[in-house]
Amino acid sequence: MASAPSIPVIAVIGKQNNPIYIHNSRLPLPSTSLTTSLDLHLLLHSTLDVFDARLPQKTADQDFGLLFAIDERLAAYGWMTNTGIKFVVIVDQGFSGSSGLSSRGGGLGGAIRDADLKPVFKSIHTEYIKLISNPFFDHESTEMVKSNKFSKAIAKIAEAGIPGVY
Amino acid sequence: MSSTSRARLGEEVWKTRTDKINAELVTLTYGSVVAQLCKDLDGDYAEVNKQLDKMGYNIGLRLIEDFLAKSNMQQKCANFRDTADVISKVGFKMFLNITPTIANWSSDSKQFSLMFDENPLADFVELPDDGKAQAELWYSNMLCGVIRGALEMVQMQVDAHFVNDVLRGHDTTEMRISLVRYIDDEMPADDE
Amino acid sequence: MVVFSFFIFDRHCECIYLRQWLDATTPSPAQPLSRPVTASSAATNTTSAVEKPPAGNKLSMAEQAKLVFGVIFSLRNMVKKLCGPDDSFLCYRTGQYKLHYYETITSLRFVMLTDIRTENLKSSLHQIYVNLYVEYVVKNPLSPVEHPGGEGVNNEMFELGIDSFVRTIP
Repeated sequence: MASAPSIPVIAVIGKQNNPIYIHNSRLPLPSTSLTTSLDLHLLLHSTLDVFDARLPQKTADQDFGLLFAIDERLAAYGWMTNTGIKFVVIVDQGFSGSSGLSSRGGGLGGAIRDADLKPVFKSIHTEYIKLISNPFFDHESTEMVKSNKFSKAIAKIAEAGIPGVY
Repeated sequence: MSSTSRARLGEEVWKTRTDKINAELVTLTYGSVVAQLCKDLDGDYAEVNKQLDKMGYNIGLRLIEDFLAKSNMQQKCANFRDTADVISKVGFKMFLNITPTIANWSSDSKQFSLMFDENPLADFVELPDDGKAQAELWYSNMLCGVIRGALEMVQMQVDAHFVNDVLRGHDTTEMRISLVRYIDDEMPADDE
Repeated sequence: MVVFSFFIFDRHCECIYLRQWLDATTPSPAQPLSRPVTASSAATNTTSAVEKPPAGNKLSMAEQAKLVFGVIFSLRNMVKKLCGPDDSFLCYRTGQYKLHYYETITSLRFVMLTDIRTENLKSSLHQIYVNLYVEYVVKNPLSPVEHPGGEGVNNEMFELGIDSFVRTIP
């Protein structure tokens, strides 16, 4: 009963580890450990530790790859821009149980390799740049972003899923 | 000069005689001007529109000379329809690399609309969601001032204002330009 | 060729720039100019310009500008009345000097007085407009757009540009 991997959650987290924008399309996700939005916040919080822990070894590359697997279906992937903005994508691999572990051998995350997420992060980054290029965007604001354009764009990215992975 | 040769002229000036600058820089610069105005004037968007128009007017007064110098036009437009054509095909092409469509002529040929399919000034922009901006702010109002200032220098008094803007959720961005009058030559002051 | 003087008038008929290159030994263009208007200017301009001491030049330059404008203004209007609004006059000459005229669509008028052997300078005046006036005056954000009261184009780059340009005119 394997289905295509999808992206239920995209989060943008600021330099001060403040949440900037969280997109979740299909929560609660039954049969996973992610059921309430509080779960989600907790989870996103824990990704920050991974960012912090890996940062010292990081060179110019912005791709943090797989941060950790949440359970058999879900895995969190990360990306941090040079300005300290973090993008977290939670991928639903669309199958339950270990039977689906594919031959691609992507490590803990299963069928999905780190590189598969690159285009997704790239387009999130592009949308983020467009967002902050809005002259009315308040860079000092500590509140979450409310922008129709950005919301739509991110929803579209989430909907499109991971290019090239079925 | 025919309409197609004007299009060619605009293209040529854009390609060979225009110094280019990064588009994002322009967009962000214009954006900061508008955003700062909104902040300084405390959300009095009518006043923001006015200030933008005024700035544009002052730009227009100068820009027309650059326009004439670069486009090498030596003859005045025969009528207002020609003027509209030149504004769209040469003027906008040369300075913003866009060619707004001319539409909605009034029956006396004194009013027309410029339809902006794209507007480089408004890339990335989302109007603030304060319940007022969407109804009151004309984000690109500087363009109106530029046209008003530039045409005044070539002896046309016009009124230019936006009537639609995609930023406000309209389907199109439309600027209405109406000819008020042709300005007569000024006579020297009689001081004998 | 010899360039005697150069004037720019704006759309408010104000002389916004004038320049004279003559030294005392060359015949002043003021002489032929003043001839047709002797009667009206007799009060201020009793001596002929050739005999006039150079010290009187300052006043006579402003006077000259007025006279020049009067001439080109009438001439231009006459031409437009005779041949339609698209026509404009290019130059006229007298026994002593030649006056070259170029008007932009924005009603800026460029006038240059030279000796009579000089070819038509319309394109040179256009060059001055495009390469010097627009570049150094119009595009200088600190220079005012209008020059009320004939405050003038006070710009060193323009000044130098004009100087070197005039030297290159054949």
